[in-house]
Amino acid sequence: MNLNDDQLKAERRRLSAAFDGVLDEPVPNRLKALLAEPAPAANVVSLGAVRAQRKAMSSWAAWGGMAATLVLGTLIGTRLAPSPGGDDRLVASGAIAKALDTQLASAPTGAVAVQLSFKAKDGRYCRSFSTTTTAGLACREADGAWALQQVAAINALNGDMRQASSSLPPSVLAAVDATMAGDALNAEQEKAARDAGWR
Amino acid sequence: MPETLSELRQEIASLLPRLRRFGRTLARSPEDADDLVQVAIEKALTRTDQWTPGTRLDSWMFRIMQNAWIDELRARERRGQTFLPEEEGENVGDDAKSGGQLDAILVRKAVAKLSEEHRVVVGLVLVEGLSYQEAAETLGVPVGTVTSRVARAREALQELLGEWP
Repeated sequence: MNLNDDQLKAERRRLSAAFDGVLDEPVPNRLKALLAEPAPAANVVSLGAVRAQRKAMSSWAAWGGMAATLVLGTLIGTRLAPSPGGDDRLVASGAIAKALDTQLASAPTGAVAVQLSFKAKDGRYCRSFSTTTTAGLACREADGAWALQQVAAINALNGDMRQASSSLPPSVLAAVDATMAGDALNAEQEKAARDAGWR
Repeated sequence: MPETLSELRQEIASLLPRLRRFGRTLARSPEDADDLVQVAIEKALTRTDQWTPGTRLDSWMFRIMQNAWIDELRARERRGQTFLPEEEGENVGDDAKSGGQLDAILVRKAVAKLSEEHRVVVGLVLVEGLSYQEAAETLGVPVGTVTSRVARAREALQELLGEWP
């Protein structure tokens, strides 16, 4: 039995040595992002709730309501990109575009949170989103692109990411307010709109 | 012990290196392993109410990973999809690698050749250091099953690797 114990220990050491390398590797951001505090996306909120949220936050001075062009390329890298057509729209790409295409506000997953889906006054579907660094409002254009109406950096307040990412910045809320035609889509309407390709 | 969802997230985040290590004993490629960790975290976060405070969070996460891996294997079987190739070539002609690293590669390749049920007990018991009892609870099988699987896995590894140093 002693022999077996010693042998087992040796085997454990050798196996550990074979797999321990990963412990020292940096953890990929996509995994860390899953465990960052997400923005609240559990429900499709009503416009009233958005207004109430904005009122509650209006005293916060720390939001950097930044013009989309300033944010581009510095904070959010390749996830937002100038549209390939060469006009001066900014369109969502990568993980944000994918989340806007497919993710339901009523069923949050992944590193991009979608809070609110609604129809704009001009008939387009629009959706608000946030990541750990950015929040914005994007509307679906006829060519299938998600044109960014408003983008703001999310600044951590006193380094507290949790607090900072728990609500949408006022500039984004203002854009929502200005763009929305009626009420926000409920879960059923949202799913139907998604399944129809946001057309 | 984590009591809020936020604390639970932090605890899981602190387990990430070990979850990735366990993933690499289950999956044969590092990409598959990280995908598996990702799926398991997403599953865990949707069912945090199923975790019992006071029990081992690592075992709970390992169990979710193991179940997700079984699901993945079945899905791939249904799709007739083959596995991502293991990292052939990582040891080919690489004289710069030290003996230890070479041995690590040999051991990983040997583990990759084991059956699914043997790999998971190697991961839980021999790499992650769970007791037979904890591994049995994690897998939902009797402890005797774990004991015999570990024994058979060790024999298989000995056959593949020769006598252990």
